[in-house]
Amino acid sequence: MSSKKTVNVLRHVDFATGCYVDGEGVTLCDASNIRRIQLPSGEIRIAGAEKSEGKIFVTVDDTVYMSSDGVNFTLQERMAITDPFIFEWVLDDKPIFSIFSKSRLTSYSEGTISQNNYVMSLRTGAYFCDRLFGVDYYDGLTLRWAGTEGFNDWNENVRSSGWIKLTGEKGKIIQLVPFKGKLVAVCEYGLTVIDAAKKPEDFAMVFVDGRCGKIYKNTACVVGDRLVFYTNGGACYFDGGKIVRIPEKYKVNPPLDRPVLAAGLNGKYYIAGIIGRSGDRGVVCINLDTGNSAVIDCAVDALFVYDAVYFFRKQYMGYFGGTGNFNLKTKPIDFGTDKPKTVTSLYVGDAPVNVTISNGRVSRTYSYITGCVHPRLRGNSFTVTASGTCSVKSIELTAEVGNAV
Amino acid sequence: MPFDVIKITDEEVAKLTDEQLLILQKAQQEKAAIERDYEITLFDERCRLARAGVLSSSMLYAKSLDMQILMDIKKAELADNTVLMLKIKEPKKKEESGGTTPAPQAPYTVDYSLSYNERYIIVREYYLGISDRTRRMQLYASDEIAKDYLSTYYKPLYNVLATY
Repeated sequence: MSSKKTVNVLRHVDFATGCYVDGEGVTLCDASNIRRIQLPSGEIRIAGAEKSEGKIFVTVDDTVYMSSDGVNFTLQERMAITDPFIFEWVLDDKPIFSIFSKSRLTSYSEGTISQNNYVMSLRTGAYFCDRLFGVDYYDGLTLRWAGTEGFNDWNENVRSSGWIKLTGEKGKIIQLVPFKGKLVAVCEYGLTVIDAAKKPEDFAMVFVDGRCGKIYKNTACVVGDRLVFYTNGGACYFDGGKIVRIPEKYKVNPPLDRPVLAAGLNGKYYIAGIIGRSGDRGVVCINLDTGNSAVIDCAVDALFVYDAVYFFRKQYMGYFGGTGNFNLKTKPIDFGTDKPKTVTSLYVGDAPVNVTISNGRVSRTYSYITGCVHPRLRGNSFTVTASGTCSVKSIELTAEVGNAV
Repeated sequence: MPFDVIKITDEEVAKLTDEQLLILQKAQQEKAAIERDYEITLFDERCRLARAGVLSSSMLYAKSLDMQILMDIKKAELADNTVLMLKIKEPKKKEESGGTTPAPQAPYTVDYSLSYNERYIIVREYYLGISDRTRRMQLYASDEIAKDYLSTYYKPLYNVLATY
């Protein structure tokens, strides 16, 4: 006596790249529009796009380059790049894009680029409430702020420049992020919120409850109404009140190792590091609303946000979006029994896909198929690999369990 | 009882009349009250900063400096008024011959008949006219005339000139 059983292949995926996978289908999420750019080779440390004119800035070794078209980059200024940070601010109604590195500032505004040296060395920082805040370059526990007279106003008094030293129980400050009207000091082992939207003499500090493990540097960014960051236990976010661990619905793929940088837009958080399964550099995109994640097989050197999340990879640039290629492979599918069975049909819904089904000894490959094919493959369990360039709603396998061919 | 509200030696205290002594004692008590207020306010400020989680910061020192300047000004005004009151209550002396002591040479008006407040303003305006802060502070630090002319107002003015 035999019976027909149908399984949703997408519920058995073991590893996938270039897409989200859930019971609803395969949704593309891959690197797109990768193009070669005119940029010298070297170490890319930081990149950004200034909002008013869309010019792109990137540092290669100790030089700042700028592009108006995203292809041709021209040398602008030389500056030693050490723990740089980018911020945009306004002076006399003019928008200014700045890169700060240790004690040097390179700024661009309305066609003019300039560079200044300052007396204070900062490791990481942010521009918040008309002040420059930064972590003391030589003491990662001390947060400093400049006075309102400018970035060289470091005369300490009640209304002007000053500093706060953290106790150290959460480790050194590794990033400063303005979030929901406050300044968040992202430390090695937690968050500290500084209410700095007032006079310095009224600044107050709030220690955020919630254990989150070790936080990786340069992984904190604001995505919508969440401050997302990556820890040794996975991705978390701060909603302004507490730290929440992002549920690991993405059990399709193992977590990321050694994350190094991140960016986010439109409810998606992109984190670059070592993909646990392959050991190669890549990017994981986490959908913050659903918890699903997509592995993107693309090593990146820098990320920045403009109208999408863009990346630099050596002398190439591209962005992440809903186009590209996906690949997936399932775990062995046994239809709930270890008895021999015969796969009688393979159904692909609504978009063409390349599929290979194997029983461990024999494989059958179908290129660019939609609809139903009939593998007539017998075995105890089967693995399916699929790839394509479009999102797919379903891939189903039907087998007759218990009959003989 | 040691008196440090104004510069006065023990011999000079011994020559004071009863009324003058009462004035001096009252001024000394007011000085102690000013200093006590400073300590209490500083303690309150320390508690406020601790509650705000920012005790380990530059704010306490900066605030205490501001408060110190205000306290020094209050003590200087008290000293000025005390000297004036003691002079008013002084027994009449025979006029000495020889006229007034010639004023020492200084780039600003030196008139010991003026109140300490008025002297403070004159010297402050002169030194604020020097835009180079380093040179301003060097000249003021070496100004021996100002040290005597301003008495207890000298140090508060030093702190004020250093912040411009």
